[in-house]
Amino acid sequence: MARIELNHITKIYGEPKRKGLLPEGARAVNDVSMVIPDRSFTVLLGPSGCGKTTLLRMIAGLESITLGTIKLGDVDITNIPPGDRGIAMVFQAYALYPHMTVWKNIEFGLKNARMPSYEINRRIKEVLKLVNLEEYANRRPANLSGGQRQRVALARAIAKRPEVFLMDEPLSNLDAKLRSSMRTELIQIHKSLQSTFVYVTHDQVEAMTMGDNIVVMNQGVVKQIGTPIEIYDEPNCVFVAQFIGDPGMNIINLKDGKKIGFRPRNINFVNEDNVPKDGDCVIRGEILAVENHGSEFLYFVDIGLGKIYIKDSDRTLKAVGDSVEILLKRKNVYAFDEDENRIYGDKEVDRVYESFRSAGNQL
Amino acid sequence: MNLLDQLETSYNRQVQKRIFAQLDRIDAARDLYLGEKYRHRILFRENTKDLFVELKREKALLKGYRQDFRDELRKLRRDYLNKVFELKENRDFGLKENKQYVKLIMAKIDANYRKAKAGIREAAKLREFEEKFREYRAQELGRRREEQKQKKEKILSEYCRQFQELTDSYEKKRNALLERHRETPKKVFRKEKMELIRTLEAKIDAERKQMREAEARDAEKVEKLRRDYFAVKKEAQAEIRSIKQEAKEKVSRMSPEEREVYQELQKYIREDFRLRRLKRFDSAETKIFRRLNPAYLYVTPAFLSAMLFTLFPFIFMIVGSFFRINFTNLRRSKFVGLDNFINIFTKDTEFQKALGNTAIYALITIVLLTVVTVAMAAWLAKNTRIHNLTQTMVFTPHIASLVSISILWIAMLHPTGIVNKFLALFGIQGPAWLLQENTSLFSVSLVTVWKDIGYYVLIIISGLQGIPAYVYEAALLDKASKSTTFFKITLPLLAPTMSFVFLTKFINSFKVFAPIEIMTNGGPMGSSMVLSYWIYKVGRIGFNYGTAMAGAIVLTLMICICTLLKNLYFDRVVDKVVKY
Repeated sequence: MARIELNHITKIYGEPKRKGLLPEGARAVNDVSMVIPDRSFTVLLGPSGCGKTTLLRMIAGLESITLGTIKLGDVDITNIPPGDRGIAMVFQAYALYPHMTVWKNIEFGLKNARMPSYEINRRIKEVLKLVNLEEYANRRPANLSGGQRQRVALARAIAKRPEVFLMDEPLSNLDAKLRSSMRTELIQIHKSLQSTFVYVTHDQVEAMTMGDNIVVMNQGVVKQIGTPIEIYDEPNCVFVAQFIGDPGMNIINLKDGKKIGFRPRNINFVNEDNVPKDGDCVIRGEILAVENHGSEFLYFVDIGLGKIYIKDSDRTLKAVGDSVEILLKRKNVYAFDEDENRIYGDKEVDRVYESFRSAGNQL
Repeated sequence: MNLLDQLETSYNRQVQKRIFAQLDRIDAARDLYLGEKYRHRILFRENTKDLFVELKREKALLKGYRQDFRDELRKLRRDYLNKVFELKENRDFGLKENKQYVKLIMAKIDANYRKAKAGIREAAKLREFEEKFREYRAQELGRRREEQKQKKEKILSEYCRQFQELTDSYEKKRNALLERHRETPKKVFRKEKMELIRTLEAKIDAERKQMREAEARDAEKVEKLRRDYFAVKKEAQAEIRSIKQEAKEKVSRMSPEEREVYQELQKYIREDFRLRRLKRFDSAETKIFRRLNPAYLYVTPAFLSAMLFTLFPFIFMIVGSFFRINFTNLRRSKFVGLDNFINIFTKDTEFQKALGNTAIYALITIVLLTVVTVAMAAWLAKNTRIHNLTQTMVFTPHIASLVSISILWIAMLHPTGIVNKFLALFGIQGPAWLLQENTSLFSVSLVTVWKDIGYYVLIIISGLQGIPAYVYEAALLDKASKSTTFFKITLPLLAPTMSFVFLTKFINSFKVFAPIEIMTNGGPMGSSMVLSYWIYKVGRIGFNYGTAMAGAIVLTLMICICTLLKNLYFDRVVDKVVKY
């Protein structure tokens, strides 16, 4: 059972003034409680400095925990040294031992676990085959390419057969092409190993494609936990809505402090295909910039109440300075309250939609 | 009104424009004069540019002919050796794996056996099964052994085959290269090239001659232009002076408000003048340094001092070692050939002792220093208050002068000094340290080590901090204990720093002088006599400069050889071990 349970985890940097007091430094992680299910591929996602790496390192035992407890299965591992936790970690900078060959890099951890040599040999061969590096066993990391090094780091983690894999932005040092191929490889490895993966990234594409469970964090606090589809379709606050998606959700502040949001994909220019019906909202705006993305265009439009992005695959080019009419349907609207939390009630969303329409029409 | 507009219409600007016109006049006259003066030279340079390039290339070809050949050979050999090395590693790896082969299989069989055995309850059946199993095991073992042997032979034969192949192809390539080299004998090649070079040079000379003639023809014209230029310059400068005078007078007649404005604007005008001057300076600078590489300029002081204080004395030393030198009257010095060297190696027992002692001293120092500093640095690398305090304390002796430290330790190492008193607390009868033949050299090296610890600890700490933190974190996750981490990770990664620092220190230890001079004077009974001190004693005290110089040459050779060995072998080894 490799279910990880975090209870009120808090990390505060700095030294406490007196014993028994809390330190007064920055709060990297603030009262995080969650459960990472067994055999899941959980992704910790957030902007840089949101505490996701700190949280991962606390699970690994590389960072001390100021408050709270961590349970792995039924065992409290809060105070167990990292080597004994039954976890393996893949670092962003690979963290291979530069003076050892690939073989020895993998062997090192197994030897320290006092494993018999024939078992070590068998396992190393197995993992090298898994990551396609059998011919490189005698090379040193300096003589390998970035992707190969990453695979060695992965092999080193797999060889230990841990219950939990922790990965700290393992793909961020690779080029774009290699990254996408390593992504599929990682997914396959997860499927074949059947163990829990905890994966830290700031790249939402990685999170959406790989994770079956995404944890969005910001400023040391968990904002939302859910599947990729839930996170995208049902964001529970403004931060998640704006962070997920490229570009993120358009948020317009209304007069009463409420906010209305809609995805750049879900609004259209008014044309033959998109004729406004009764009750739909039509806004007038002026195009400030156009980006050609090949399959579609990204428009940056000023609608008076604010500036929004529109993604449209309509290939009849609109130029900068054109004034356009934009159609926004009720079903594509998200509403948020003054504290940036999502409003779910249908009637209340209707009210926000109406107030946006009347504000738009006054222009 | 805008300041800039005001500036454009102001009186200051008018004055400036008039002055600039005069300056431009000077410049125009100068350009005319210089253009005419250098016209033929520039023409010559342009005509011969291609010729010069060709000449340079041909000369380089001539010079590099053998070098290219050698480089090619070397590259071929290096490639070959690299491939052989890789082949060997693969072979060793295969053999090692093969060694494990039987063990692995037998472990599996035994495991199966144990499992099966647990299932059988009856004693008779068990016995039968065991017998059967024993037979089976022996049979299997034999078979596997045979297989292992075959595999081993296969690996070895494969290795031999590949090695042979590699060697054959290498030799073939090498022979082809040698053959090609032989086909165009050096002499022929050289002759051809020399002829080519000569014709090129002749062409250039002809051009140059033409240029000279043209210059002579135009000399009068140039001379006239020169005179014109100076006349214009004089005239224009006088004009500028008068303009300035006029402006001064006008300003003195201005009302105070007007003058204030004038002075305010004059700041900008002055800046314009400054920029004009800077521009001319810049163009002059680029003109000079286009011809002359500024690096020569920068290196001159260092080069001169090196010549004066290192190279010249060194040559003097080499020459002097063949003479019996008389410093009061150098002309009375007598050439004695190699006598000085023969003497020190055959007759002078003190020199021979010094030679041995120098090596022993360097060894003791380096071993002590390495062990102590690495251990200490590993402890001091943490950044807490107590560690920083200790670090400062350990570093202090390094700042103090070696003389005062030596004197301090003479007192401490006195037979009834503080060291022996301390030892007496534990009931140990300390030796007489500096006054005893078998401990004197060790005592001196102890003192120098004590002085140097702080400095080397600092260097090792910086080396430790250069090891990335994630390596340690990975080790932590790999369940490595503290000692494993130190010996398997820290030490190998520290090897580059350590080897450089301590080998340099080792070589420097050959030159130890001050502590020996102060603490022991080479005694007792020459037990702490080292080479530098011997040189000093023979030369400055015994006035046998020739002999001392011969000894100095021996010392220099020792240092040279050690440095060479270090550069040749150790650096390369270290390079191979650690590359981030």
